[in-house]
Amino acid sequence: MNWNLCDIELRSPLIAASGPLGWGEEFFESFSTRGLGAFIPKTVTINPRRGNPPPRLIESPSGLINSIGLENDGIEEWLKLEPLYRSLDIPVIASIAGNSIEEITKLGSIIEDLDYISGIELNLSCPNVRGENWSNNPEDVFIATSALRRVYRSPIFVKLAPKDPILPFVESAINGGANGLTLFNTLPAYRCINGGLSGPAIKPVYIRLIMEIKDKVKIPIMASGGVISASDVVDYLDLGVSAVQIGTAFFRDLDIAERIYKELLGIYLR
Amino acid sequence: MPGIYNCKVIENKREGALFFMELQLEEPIPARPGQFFLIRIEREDILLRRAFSIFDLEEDRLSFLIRVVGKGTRWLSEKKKGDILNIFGPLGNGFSIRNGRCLLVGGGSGIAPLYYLAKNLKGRIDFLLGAETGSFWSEDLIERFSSLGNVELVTEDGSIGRKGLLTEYIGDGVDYIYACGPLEMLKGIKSLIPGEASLEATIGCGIGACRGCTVEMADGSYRRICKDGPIFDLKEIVG
Repeated sequence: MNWNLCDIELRSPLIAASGPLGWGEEFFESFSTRGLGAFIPKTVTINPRRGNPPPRLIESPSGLINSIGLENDGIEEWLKLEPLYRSLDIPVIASIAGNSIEEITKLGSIIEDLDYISGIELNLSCPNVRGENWSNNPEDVFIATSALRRVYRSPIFVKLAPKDPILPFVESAINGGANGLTLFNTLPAYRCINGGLSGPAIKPVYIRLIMEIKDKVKIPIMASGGVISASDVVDYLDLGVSAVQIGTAFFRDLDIAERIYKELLGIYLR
Repeated sequence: MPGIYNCKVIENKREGALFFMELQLEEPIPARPGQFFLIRIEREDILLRRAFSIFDLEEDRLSFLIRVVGKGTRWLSEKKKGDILNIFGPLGNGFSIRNGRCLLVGGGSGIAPLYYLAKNLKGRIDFLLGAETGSFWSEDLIERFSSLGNVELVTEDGSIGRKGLLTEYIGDGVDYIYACGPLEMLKGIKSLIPGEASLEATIGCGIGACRGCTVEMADGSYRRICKDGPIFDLKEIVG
């Protein structure tokens, strides 16, 4: 199977979503890229971030609420992973977040020079960082996206929050210069902690939101939300999305991408 | 290196308030005391695997002590001989192995990692085990521990052994302390004797990547239970 995402060649439509596998050092020590079309490391920010106080994971039926709070060691440490990212046989798309236009453009300028990074996923929608969410109004989505566009030439995927109605946000990202969209970040939720809900519980919500805009959007979409099996992937692909991200399902099986890919081959070859 | 394995359940029986689950491994898996495995729960509504420290590991037989606390552990307690479980591990750092006289302190299901630890220690071993009430432990279980060292029991209601909290009975005269139990219990260990303890949290990826199982240490720093732990120096936990 050959897939194309904004001129990034993919051997599989399955993308490792930003977050669950961190920056990849630990995962690729024990697991391979089998089944994966691309890898998106956990969001990197200009400065190191300590993240939110524990507890950070709470389960709810068919779902998981997380509140990691963008913990990461900052761009300087992230750049040291170049040998790992070069060694992977799949494209790496960087996920970035910033709490100002300056931070976003600084990150964009740094990554613009990295030939081993195929594109940027602009994380405008982490539900777990206060006052830094660009995804709450369409104007902010436009401002952040167009700022990154000015400094970054390769594909930009804007990762939005699951807002309803979603069209104004999607249009703002496109007007700001997005080449693709990641739909969506986790769904804000509360159970013991404030966090973002992921897992099969959110999939019907996300399917409906994507249905609303799929005919009005010409740029590629990466769907993200609640995929744990090949039939979930098919549900999203049937809507016309270009690729499907896998996130929380890695916690059940770190080799989930390979499992789902094999199942997908069976479905499409039949 | 951790791996994903399918294992057959050889035995799953109630031992007091716990379940003793023994699995047949297809091949021996080397693992250190204090390390843990993640077991997949085959229910649609449960995404996270459940973490269990190694109770015992002998050649191709691996066992856990399971306390039923929710739907996932309930599902595990209902597994029958011959059922297949999918496990991922071994994970985490494991206990350090010390010489000299060691005190092994286990509160509630915190006794789980102490048996395999004791089997790997060379010096004299004292167990100090605590629970709310005496029916928490089975006689078989206490006998197994007694075969490896001196066992002292403490119950909150005084139904067996000494009455009160485990931490009140940590004396001196030992060289090193190993502990496992609820965080409040561990924080109650005010002994000056050096030691280490096993912590627990909801585990996400199990390999240190997702930062979901982070705990706050006494100095305010954040550590990952699955990768930096689950074993930490007692001073890091208590302060």
